[in-house]
Amino acid sequence: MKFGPFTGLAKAGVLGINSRNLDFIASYNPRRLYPLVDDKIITKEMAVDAGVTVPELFGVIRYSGEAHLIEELAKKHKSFVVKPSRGSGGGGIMVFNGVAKSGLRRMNGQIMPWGDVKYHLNNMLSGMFSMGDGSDQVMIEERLVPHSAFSKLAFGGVPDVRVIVFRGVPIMAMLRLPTAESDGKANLHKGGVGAGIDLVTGLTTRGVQHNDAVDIHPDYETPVRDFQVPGWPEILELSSRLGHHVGLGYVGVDIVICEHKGPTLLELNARPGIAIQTANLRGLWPLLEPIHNLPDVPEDVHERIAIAKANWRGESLEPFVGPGALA
Amino acid sequence: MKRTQLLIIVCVLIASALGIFFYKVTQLGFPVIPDLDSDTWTIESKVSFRGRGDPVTLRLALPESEGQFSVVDESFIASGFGIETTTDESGRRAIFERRAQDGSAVLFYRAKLISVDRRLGQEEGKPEPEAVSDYRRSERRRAIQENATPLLVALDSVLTEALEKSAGERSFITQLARISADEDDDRITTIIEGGPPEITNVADRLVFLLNAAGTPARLVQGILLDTDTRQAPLESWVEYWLKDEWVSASPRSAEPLDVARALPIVYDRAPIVDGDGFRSLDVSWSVARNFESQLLRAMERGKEFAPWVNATSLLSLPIDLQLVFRVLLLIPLGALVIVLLKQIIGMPAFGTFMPILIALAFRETSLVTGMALFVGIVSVGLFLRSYFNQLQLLLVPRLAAVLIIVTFLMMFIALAGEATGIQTGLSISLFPLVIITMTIERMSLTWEEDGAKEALKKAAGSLAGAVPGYFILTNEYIEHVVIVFPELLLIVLAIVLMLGRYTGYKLTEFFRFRVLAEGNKA
Repeated sequence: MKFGPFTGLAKAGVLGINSRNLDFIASYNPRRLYPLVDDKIITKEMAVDAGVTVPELFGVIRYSGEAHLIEELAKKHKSFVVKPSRGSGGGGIMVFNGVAKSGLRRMNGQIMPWGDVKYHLNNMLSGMFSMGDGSDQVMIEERLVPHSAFSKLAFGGVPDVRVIVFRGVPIMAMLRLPTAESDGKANLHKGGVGAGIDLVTGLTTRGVQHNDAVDIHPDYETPVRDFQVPGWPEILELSSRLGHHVGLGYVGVDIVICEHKGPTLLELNARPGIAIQTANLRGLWPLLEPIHNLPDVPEDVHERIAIAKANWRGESLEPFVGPGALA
Repeated sequence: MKRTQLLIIVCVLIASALGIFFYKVTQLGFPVIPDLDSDTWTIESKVSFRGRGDPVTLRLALPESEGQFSVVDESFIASGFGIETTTDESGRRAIFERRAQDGSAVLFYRAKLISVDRRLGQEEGKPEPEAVSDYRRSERRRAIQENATPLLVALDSVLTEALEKSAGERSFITQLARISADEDDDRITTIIEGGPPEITNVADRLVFLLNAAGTPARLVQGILLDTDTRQAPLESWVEYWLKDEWVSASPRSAEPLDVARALPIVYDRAPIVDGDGFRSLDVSWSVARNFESQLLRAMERGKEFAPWVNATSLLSLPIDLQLVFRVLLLIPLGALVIVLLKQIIGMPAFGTFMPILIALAFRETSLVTGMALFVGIVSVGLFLRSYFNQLQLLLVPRLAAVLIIVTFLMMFIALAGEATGIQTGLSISLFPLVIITMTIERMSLTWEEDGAKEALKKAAGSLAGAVPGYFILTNEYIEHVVIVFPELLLIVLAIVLMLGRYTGYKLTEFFRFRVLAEGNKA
């Protein structure tokens, strides 16, 4: 059912939440596969299977009685991230880059006392930041160091690339840049900057903050347009490979580009948001529809990337359909 | 495939809902619009007598349930007497019996009556009553004129005059009543002298004349329900047969009486009380008006006309359960509002059904006081919750602490309301505690995670969603419709199912992606 007064949106091919939920998530994402993406520990194991780079897991805290383990782990690794295994929207994630006698040092240099650290761990374990009900586990992971190209584009946090992958084919991507306003978090609704990415070249096309177009990063005044995302071919390959492997038809792949490790999987999202359309000034529908109509999607990741690029350019996908493509 | 299935389900739901609804409205006369000033009456009959030490049998005429009035509830107070009720051609009677009664005794009969709209062909199949004679048939007229006793001459003259001055049956009756009521008229005096003894009474006389003229008529003794009184007089009036129904009318003018006010007890001078074994009989009637809800009336109609409807009706439940369902049945409508707000408009709010739960809470207060209380309690709760956060409490104990604090807050508001004479305190006792606590917890989390702006936006969204919910949940008309026609909720279900397959845009997305729509135009 389509309703009248939104014809402008329909012409632009904007994908609305209702349509995303019914036409894509409900149709392509089997419920039983959700734990693969909702539980980050399982995601990590699966990503390793798929041959994808992931942040190293230092340890897992399962019960509040294990909270003291954080001290040993901290002394051993110095710089790390704590996050709830089934967290949503980045809730509860904390980054530390050093150990002091009284506690852990946060990225902004403040020392968080041990008591506060353990209280926060307990909150995470009781499921305060997690999807669904009940308790959760806390992961202690390697702190990813962003690529140096982002030094003047990310304020106080780690930027990431979100790729929407549909049937294993990358559809649309955006770069998410933390700002002072977003408190170092890359989430757009907290005030991060989203930059649309040309899927073929990996160049950013435009930036948005709070739904308004921005040309420069608000904290550094560096341009957010025409920035070459480092390691773009690898990003496409990683997202396509993982999107195919996970079995979810419609999935958001969040990737951090590390200085040394290159593109690294941060997390998967079975219900990726639709704000990516504003960042790219492009509707998702015209990109999703040709892929939806494909009778079959090739097993080979490079063929899928070729399809993704042709799709982004708006070319016909005819050449990819037929005996040659299926062979 | 899914779409076809859905369409079939939706069509079946709507069709059955409308089918039952129209049956109940057109065939059973269930009221679609609540008659908010509907009333019922309680009549009480007090029979006092003295016994002679012999067996007593006392038969008391009771109001019929089949006429304009429906007897909802009746009771007897007659200690020591055996009681049974019978119905024969003269009407319904209660029979009080006792082996031996010495000295004075008092019996009470009490009935609750509802005036019922009998448009529904109650008289169908009943034969038309036959008139005693028909003056307007020529042979009968000739016979009267030929016999020419003074009575018949007077009768002939009266009937002829009434016939000549009238244009139809109704005006004939009016004319006859006018002449009949005029006791100075010589013809009427003659008729009184020559006719049966009881026609000195104006009502009996009109019945006699109408029957003589061929219009079936009967005398009614009953009570005119007017105002509350301990001593309601037993009135006489006439009923005549006009256009296939009995019309109750004043004996002097033949003007129809207000049928919702005239309660017949006995017809044709049947005794109100008969029997034997007693003396010094006295019967008095008292009348009291009850302002009853429409629900009771509707329930009675159901019982009268279609037992299956009543059996499946919520109105057959005990009244306290009914009160619960009066609220429960509104929840589906609230859910529909939520679906519209969330799927079509895209209003931000805490939780899925939070706005409607808040609206339910407002139902107990009123909208404005409810809002003020809600905002007040939530702000204090938020403040305390952030303090508890500093104390580093675990999640569940912290929630419990907030819950306890909210309980105290409500207690203080109630006490303060009582002290200052403001009545809000009483009604917030039903203000759902847990809902407020959950709101506080969710709001403080959102506040910490996404900032004050997001939290306030969601709080405002929840409150704004509660407003249409409140107006639906407090609308007397809607409440009446769903309790009398719960089947209409199937239509709500159908709409919700349809909206479940709505893949169009939300109103908020129109603003969110305005850039794209405009970019497309340019």
